[in-house]
Amino acid sequence: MKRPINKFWIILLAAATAVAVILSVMTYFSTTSAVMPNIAGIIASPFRSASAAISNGVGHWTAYLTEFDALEAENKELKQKIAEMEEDVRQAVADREENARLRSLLNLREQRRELSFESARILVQDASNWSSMLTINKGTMHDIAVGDCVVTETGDLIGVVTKTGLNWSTVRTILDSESSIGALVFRSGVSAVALGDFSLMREGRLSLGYLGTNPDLVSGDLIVTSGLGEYYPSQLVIGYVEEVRPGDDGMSQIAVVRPEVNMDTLTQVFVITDFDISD
Amino acid sequence: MPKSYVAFKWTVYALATLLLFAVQSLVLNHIRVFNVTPFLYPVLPAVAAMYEGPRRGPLFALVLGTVCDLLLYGPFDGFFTIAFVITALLASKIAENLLSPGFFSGLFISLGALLLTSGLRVFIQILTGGPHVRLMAWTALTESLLTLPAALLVLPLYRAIHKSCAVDY
Repeated sequence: MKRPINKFWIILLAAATAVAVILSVMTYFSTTSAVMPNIAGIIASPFRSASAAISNGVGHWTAYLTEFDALEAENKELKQKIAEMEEDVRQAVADREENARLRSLLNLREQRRELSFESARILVQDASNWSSMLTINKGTMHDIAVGDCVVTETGDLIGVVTKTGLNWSTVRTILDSESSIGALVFRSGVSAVALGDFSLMREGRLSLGYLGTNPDLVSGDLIVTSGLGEYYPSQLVIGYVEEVRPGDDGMSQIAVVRPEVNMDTLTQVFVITDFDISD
Repeated sequence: MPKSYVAFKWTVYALATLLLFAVQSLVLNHIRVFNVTPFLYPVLPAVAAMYEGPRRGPLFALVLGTVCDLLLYGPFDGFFTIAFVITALLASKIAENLLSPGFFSGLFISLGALLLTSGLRVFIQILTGGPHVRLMAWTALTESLLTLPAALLVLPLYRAIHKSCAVDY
């Protein structure tokens, strides 16, 4: 009959107990890790790394299989968040630009208390070869009327309202060949008329006519609205004289004026809906 | 021809025209040669009238001209309506009596339409005594020649609509 616990088993258990006791004693008396566990650790290290790598791989694969739907949903949510943040950034940029314009307008409002402004956005910019017009998104319901001047946030004249609807208006820019506005040479006070000119329109310039035969005018002179006739406000910047040359009749002189405003880059404008006449 | 079929055909024409409006505003408006931009719209009623004849063509031109007058800036209100109807009438008559509708006749009619529309602008300028008539005439010629290559978009598109919707009843 076989014994339930044989001699080999007893020796084996005794050896194991001895190893355990030895390791415990070594660990107890050692300040760092014991020699045996240390050696065992060194030997086992590459196997542990390999095991960990495989385990991670399997874990990822399992996660891919088990959490795919969750990840997809999370991915979708993150994409949505990125899109929202991008939209916020875009809005912030637009807001910052608008803020800068409104700050400038605030300065203008303080300087020109006699003027009432209505902010508007440009809907359509005429790209034809024959005219220079704009359509803005404000109309009669915003107190805009035909003849109102349209300026930038710094008070540079863009043009004059020629048509209005309930929520839209058409603006003829100062470049259009049918544009005609009373002007003044700021330095000398010489009166003239700022005229749109078909030949200059495409170069983004306009002419200053009715100057007489010997006008006091030099390149770089600032041209502003005269306000004569009380039809338009005075002192709105039209542009700067670029050159003075003989007119078509050969007798009088005209000046080529470079507007202060670049029509191609405009997005927001301000309509002067009302102004007081200052003496 | 059933009314629903006619409506379908002109709906397709309207959609194609809308596409060409997009081409004008998104592409052609950004092209500048000698400071001149191509202007495609006068080609549309002319080509449509060449294919559709002297009744339907000018009607299409009337609608298109009205739309253009509402959207664009002409020398006076209604300019495009008048110019396009005249263009369409002439184009349909030429296609009926002189040149059969085709690629080269289409190009010829397109050039005529462009010259007529821009020429009318110059004519109005002369009537109102405005300056720079010679420069305007030069602009009209440049604009017409510059736009002519863009007519190559209109001709096959309208031709395809005309052919695919041409069913004898």
